[in-house]
Order: sequence, then C-alpha cells, then structure tokens
Amino acid sequence: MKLDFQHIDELAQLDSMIHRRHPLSKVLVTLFFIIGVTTQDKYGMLRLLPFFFYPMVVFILSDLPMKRLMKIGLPGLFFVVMLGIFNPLLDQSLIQVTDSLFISSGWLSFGTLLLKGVLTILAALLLIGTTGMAGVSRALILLRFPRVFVLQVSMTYRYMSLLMEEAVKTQQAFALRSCGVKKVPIKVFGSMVGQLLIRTYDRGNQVYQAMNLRGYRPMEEKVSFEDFLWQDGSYILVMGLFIFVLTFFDGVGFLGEVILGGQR
Amino acid sequence: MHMADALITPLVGGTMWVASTGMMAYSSRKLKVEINTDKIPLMGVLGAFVFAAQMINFTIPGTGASGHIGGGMLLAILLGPYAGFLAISAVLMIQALFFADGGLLALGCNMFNLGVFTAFVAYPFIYQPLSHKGKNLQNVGIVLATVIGLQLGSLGVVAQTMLSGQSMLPLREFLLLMQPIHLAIGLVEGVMTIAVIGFVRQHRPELLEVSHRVYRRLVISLGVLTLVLGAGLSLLASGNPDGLEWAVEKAGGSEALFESFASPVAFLPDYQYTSLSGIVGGGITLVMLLAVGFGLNMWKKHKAHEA
Repeated sequence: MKLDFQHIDELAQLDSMIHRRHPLSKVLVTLFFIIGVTTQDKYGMLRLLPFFFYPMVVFILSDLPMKRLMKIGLPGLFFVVMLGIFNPLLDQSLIQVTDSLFISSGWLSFGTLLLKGVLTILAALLLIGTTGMAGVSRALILLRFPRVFVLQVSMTYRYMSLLMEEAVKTQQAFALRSCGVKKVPIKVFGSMVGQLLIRTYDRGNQVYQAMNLRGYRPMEEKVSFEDFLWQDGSYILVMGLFIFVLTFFDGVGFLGEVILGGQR
Repeated sequence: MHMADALITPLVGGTMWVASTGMMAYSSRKLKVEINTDKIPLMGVLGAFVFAAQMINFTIPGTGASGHIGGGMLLAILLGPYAGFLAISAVLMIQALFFADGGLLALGCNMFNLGVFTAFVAYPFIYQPLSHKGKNLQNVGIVLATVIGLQLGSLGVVAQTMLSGQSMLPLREFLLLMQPIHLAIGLVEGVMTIAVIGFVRQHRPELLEVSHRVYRRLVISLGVLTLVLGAGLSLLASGNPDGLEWAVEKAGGSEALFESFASPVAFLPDYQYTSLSGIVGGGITLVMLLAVGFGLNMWKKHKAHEA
C-alpha cells in the first residue's frame, strides 16, 4: 500500500535531463540554492525573484507535475505564515520609493518570508521528485553521513507502507466489532496503538529476515563515485555559479538602473 | 513546531547542522557496538510509527487549536537515546524531503529541537532516574520528560528564530505563543506515550529490557558547548541589529524622522533593497521568467514533435 506522498518517489523513475544527473550533484545544487535564498535580506523580496528561474527550469525540463507537488508542499508554509503575519502588524514603517509611492516594510518582510518559504519548499520537492529516496540515500552515503542513519532513513520510509497496511486492518477490525462507534475510546486507544506497533514490528522483522536471506547487507553495500560523469560536475558548476551570482549580485536593481538610465 | 528554512539564516542553520550531525556521528558510533539484527527492523517500524503519528493532528483540550506529537520520548524509551535520536532525525529528514515540512537547511535545528533535547537531556536526567522506582513514578517520569523535552524544543525554535531575526515578533509574545501550546501538546503526548509503553511492557517486555546508559558527562559537555555557541551567535546577531531595532535607530537618526517616530508610522528613506530601479528590475525579471518558461516549453514541444 502506497501513501499519497510516496507517489513522489515514483516520479523519480521518469527519464529526463534532470533525472539523469547524479544524485550527489542534485543534492549539492539544492543545498546551494537553499543557502542562496535564505542569505537574502529580510526585505530583499525583489532580489528573490530571479531565484524562481531555477525551479521553473527544473520543473519544465524534468516533466514533474507542478500542481501535485505544490499541493503536497504548500501546507509546509503554515508555520512561516503564522509567524510572518505579525510582521505587518509590528513593523509599520514605510519605505519611500518615489515622491508619492510608499511601501510598508512589514508587508515587504512578510512577502520576503513567503517567497523564501515557497522557493525552499520547491527546491526540496524537486530534489526528491527527480532523485527519489534511493538516490538521496546514495548521496548521503557519499557525503559521509553515518551508514546506520542512512539505513534508518530508508527503513522508516519503506516500513511506512507496512504500518499503513496494518493500520487499515486494525481500523477494519475495530469498525466491525464496535457496533457503529466511530471514535476510538481513550480506554482502548493504548491497546489498539500498542497492538498496531507490535503487529507491524513482527511483520517488519519477517520482511527484514527475508531480505537478509536474499543477501541484503545494507551496512556493507559499496557506493562509489564511478557513475559521476563530467556532465554532473558541469551541472554543479553552472548551477552553483548561477546561484552564486544571484546571491551576491543585485541583478534586479542593475536591470532597473539600466532601464531608468542610471537612476535608483 | 517544525522550524522552516524561510525563518532562519544560513549561519544559524549551519551551526545547528554541525551540532546535530556531531550528535548523529556520536550516536552512530555508539550504536555500532550494540546494534543487532533485531534492532534494525524495530528502528524502522518505530520511525514509521512516529512519522504516521506526527501526521495526525489532535485538538488541544480547551484551546480549539490543534497539534501533533513529537514522538522523541517514545523512541528514546523503546530504542534507547542513541537509536532514538537517529530514528527521530530520520523521520524529520523524510518530512523535510517529501513534505518540505521543516526544510533542509532547518533540518539541523529540527533534529536538535526534537531529538537532542528529548534523547540527551529529558531522557537521561528526568525519565531514567524515575524509571526504576515503580510503575507510577515511571509514568510521572514519562509525562515530565515529554513535557520538558517539548518545552526545551519550542524554546529552541524561539531562540533560533530570534537569532535569525526574520520574524518581528518580540521575544515575550513569541514565548507566550509557543510555550503554553507545547505544554498542552506535551501533556497529551505524555499520556499517549504511557498508554503505548504500558501495552508494550505488558505484551512484549523484552523490548523494554535493554538498559540504555547515557554518559551524563557527555551531556554536560554538550550543554557547555551549546552555551558557548549560543553566546557566540548572539554576539554576531547583536552586531547586526534586527529589523525593528534597525528601523528605530534609523528613524531616530534624523530630526524630521524623529517626530514621525512618535506616530505609529515611520519612514525609512533610501532603503537599499527597495528602490524604483529595484521595482522596475523586478518587473523585467518577471517578464523574463515568463519568456524563458514559454521558450523552454516551446523548445520541448518542438523536440518531442521531432522525435
């Protein structure tokens, strides 16, 4: 049984220019991108705009369904909105742009937070959508993350389906025996959840032993840079340079000055 | 309570990454000695369990607000602090990747807030001393450790956000917003943890029989290191006053503006990040974004047509 979010992993099976890049190169570019975005000043909303080139280009080149990914990622903005909404209330200063044009700095910093939120969320979803869980795990090993941690990440991810299967069975059993009671009473909550945990553990143990018998040795698996091609290096270089320029150079202001003939 | 990328600076995020990956390396080294084949599936299943539990929001009694459990204490009790910390870190990593919940830069903060405080502070100092003193005291220990672990975690969120200076919320209001709600979540989570542990103790006591020793000296040295890091970060932060202070300073700097400071609205002249050229440039960037998107789409269609 697959959960909705686990279908993102299936998207990583697609074949595209971005999908073909080595997982390590995509992990590094994503990190550079997130650092570049979060480095921007809290009023630097306009300087964040060119950062949208990255998700846009990756979305188009990788054929990922933007709507579906946004639907999964947008709830992640909740905490940002919850804290950011205080900015317009607490910071009521005005920024004078021209003689008659003023912008509220509180709203500006709130807008910046929102854009930062959207960009960082998109970056993470694009990474998993083009690389998949197995790819990210490989990159983590190459980045020298402890093996046991990487194993834990992939086991947690795989056992999620197992847990859901058992949860559906438990829920069905409860529905059949509870004569129409919909909410689980607190009295049986502990035993129901505990039962679910123990059943999943037994099932998980069986699966793990079966995998072991078929030669699954995650702690000894060899991961090397063999399939890291020059194209992957170039991808890091080009994207890294692009992000570096956006981070430290005010391209938006420069463009505007050129159009306005040197006027700020 | 997951910290988001947008709310922190790379300096704060990077520092917390270093601290959390340090703990990760240490826990992995400790685990290598004690890990056995039984523990691997148990770690995976419990990780999945906490992941699923975090997806379920419950109504916090008397507030109308909702929250979800952290799950760190359950993992620490069933797996021990080292494996428990790795398990909660793995859950947070999957959430950051698949839901962008928390974010990748903020992952270090989240591992620290939900993992280190629970597994290496609340577990050895609150739960463990009470765990051998009868069932009732053990249950008290579970609730206390869960509540204190979560309180420390939400304090961590407040500290990291304030040090990053992206939110304008003053410290007092921020604390009032965060701490009480996490107190309520902690109490509910504590009761849930007791229920699950009670069931496991009754039906699979062997899962709870492992003794998990945490070296308190390590925890104390970690505490000192955190204080030093915190002090260093706050020095850096105070050298660069936050937006509101900056605005007040700037507004107070000129006589004409000083008067307007008395009114709720102040003016920030010559602001470097928003100028007419910036707005014009922003407009052009948007047009360029659309043009590049359109061009790329056309090119792709053309290529697909050729193929």
